[in-house]
Amino acid sequence: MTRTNETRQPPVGQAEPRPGMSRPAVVVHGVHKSYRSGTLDTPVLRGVDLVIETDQLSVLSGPSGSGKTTLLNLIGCIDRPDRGDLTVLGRQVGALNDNQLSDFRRDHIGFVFQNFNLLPVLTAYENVEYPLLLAGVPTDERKRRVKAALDQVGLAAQLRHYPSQLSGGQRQRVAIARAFVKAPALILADEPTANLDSENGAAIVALMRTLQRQHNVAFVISSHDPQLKAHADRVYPIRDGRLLPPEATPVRAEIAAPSLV
Amino acid sequence: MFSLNSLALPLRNVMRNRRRTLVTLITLIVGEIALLIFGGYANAVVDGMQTGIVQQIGHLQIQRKNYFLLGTGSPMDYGIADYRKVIAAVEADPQLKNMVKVTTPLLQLQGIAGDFNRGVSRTVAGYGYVAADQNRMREWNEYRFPIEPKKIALPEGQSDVVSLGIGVARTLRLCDALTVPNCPKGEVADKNPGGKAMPDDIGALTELEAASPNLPASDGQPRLDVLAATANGAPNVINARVAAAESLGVKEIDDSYMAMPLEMAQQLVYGRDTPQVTSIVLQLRSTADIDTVRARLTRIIQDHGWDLEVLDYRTLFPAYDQTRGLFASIFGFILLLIGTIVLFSVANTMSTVVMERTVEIGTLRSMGMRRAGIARQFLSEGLIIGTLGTVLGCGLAVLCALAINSAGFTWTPPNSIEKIPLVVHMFNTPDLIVGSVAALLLLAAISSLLPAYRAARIPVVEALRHV
Ligand SMILES: Nc1ncnc2c1ncn2[C@@H]1O[C@H](COP(=O)(O)OP(=O)(O)OP(=O)(O)O)[C@@H](O)[C@H]1O
Ligand SMILES: [Mg+2]
Repeated sequence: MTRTNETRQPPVGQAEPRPGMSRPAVVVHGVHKSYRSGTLDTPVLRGVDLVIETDQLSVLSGPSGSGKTTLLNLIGCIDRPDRGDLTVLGRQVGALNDNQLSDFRRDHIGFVFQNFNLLPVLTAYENVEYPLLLAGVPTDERKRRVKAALDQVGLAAQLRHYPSQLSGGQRQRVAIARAFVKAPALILADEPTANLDSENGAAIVALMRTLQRQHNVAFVISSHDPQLKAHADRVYPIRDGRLLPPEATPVRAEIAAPSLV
Repeated sequence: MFSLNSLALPLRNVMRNRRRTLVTLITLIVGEIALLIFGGYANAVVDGMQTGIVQQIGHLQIQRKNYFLLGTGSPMDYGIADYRKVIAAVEADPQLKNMVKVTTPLLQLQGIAGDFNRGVSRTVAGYGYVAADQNRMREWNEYRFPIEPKKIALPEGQSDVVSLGIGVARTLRLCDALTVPNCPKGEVADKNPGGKAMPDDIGALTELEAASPNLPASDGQPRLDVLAATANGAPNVINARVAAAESLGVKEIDDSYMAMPLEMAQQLVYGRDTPQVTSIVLQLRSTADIDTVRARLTRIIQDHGWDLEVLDYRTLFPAYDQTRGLFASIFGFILLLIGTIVLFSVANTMSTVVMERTVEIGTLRSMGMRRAGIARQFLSEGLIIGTLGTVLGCGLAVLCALAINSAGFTWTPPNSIEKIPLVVHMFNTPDLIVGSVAALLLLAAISSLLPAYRAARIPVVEALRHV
């Protein structure tokens, strides 16, 4: 895989100089987004301003159709706004072309999906290994990091299982390990617990909280799961494509993450 | 043991939907087999034709300029007088020595053969041969056909003897004497009891020239009179024994063929003048050397200032290239049909694959795979299917070919009356295998190109929303 040197950054985070603590992970400014189907123009985001700090677990919450996924996609650099500015990890992403955006995601952003989105033909180990392959991490380093990541999500014994041989909760753990393994500066999760029962959901929430703390990563989750809101450092409520004033989450300091791993 | 390489993912994806992959593979396999078996059969037919031609007329012939176009009817005007010098020059050439197997003179003439006492005669195409050389030429079998060399009917080392095509033998009513097959019974030999088939003056000539009258020889061999126009225009007659009748495989040739020793032919055409020939026939060890040998011969002819030209068997026997062309166009048609089926089959499979894996495309893109990476994934899958199909097809085609070649089938080619072995030639040149594999692989690649391109263009967000 060839990369333009212009956007080439140290592939994975740990040795890389993090954007300074003072600098926010994401700055969204005056962002508009609407979907066109035929002549019909459906505005989904109508002027969103948002600052997401690094080292925080932030939750975008709101009713179905309010635009959470749309906003998350913009932050994750897999979609572009119609209007407005987006600065992700200090980078004006509006100026990047498709390849540069791809490389930026590869090097700095991890995703967790509602439907897990594991590659069915790869084992748990290989699924976690894949982002490191994309980033060109050498074999030994890869091995070490994949094992550590699977260890951290409690799946050291299921390395060779294919997704079809894992439970929903286990699949989401693999997906979380896959997002964390490259030590990105920003991780995005769209309704990561929506396809899990409450018990598994709770475990996943706790796991994400723990890992977020361990890795000091900016973690943005869209959800209407109240458990998640309870664990969040910040909650950003969205209604009809607009952000309401942030909800204070006074409980967050008091809630200790259940130790899972 | 854990590590993935870049082919692992496409390979596993190909194996994921085994049934669909198998159906696509079968299209490719059957297509490849069809191309190779038909191509191999066409090769064998053309090789067989070449073998037959080269055995009879050699690879190259040295002739007087324009003999081939203008002079075949008048060997007296287009003879090569110093043919012995030409043959000596060819045989002495160090470069030609290793490539040329036989160099032999040939005198072609038009004549009339008949038993004028019995009132039968017909025109013949006479060939003055060196029988031993002709027999060596019949051994040529570069393509290793499972056949034994057949000697010509003209005996070696005898001067007063001829052999006939079986058609000539029939019309001269020599069926019983020469044991010719397919002779209608009850046909009377002489429908002109008066022996009026021959003008009296020529009959008189016969009696003057003939060494012995037309009585059955002591060994029971029939005799014939052979008449030809001499170089100075007067007819010349020789009385000769008939050794045998043979089939040359083509009825038109069998109906006019007469072989005789070179000396007899020379005596018929040139009488007591300097004996000449119409062609010097060269047979090469390998057809591949033909251009080298031709160039060298042309050089030698130029250096000596001879008024000669070199013609190859393809010019001398135009049906060879026509047959090749016919098979090439049939092969092209089959390739077109198979190519179309392969194109649509692979394209359909790859489009379905892209559809089914749209979410996966979105996932890979969100992980940072570039568009080109996505395209490469699907292109690789198409190429893997193409490679598997063509390689398996090749393997099976080779097995089929071995089975056909050892089954001992025979067939009768068009324009021929002789059965020849039915075989498939796939390996004489790599062209067929390499060409058909390359063509189908290229088609598999082309048909994966569009689906792969479309996969790469799907916006990430839409790919992820796909259900
Ligand atoms: N590709 C699209 N084309 C047209 N409309 C779309 C598209 N994507 C989203 N929408 C519309 O945009 C609105 C916001 O969608 P979005 O997915 O951002 O909501 P959400 O807050 O994530 O909802 P949910 O909680 O159900 O996931 C919805 O009304 C949806 O129908
Ligand atoms: Mg959503």
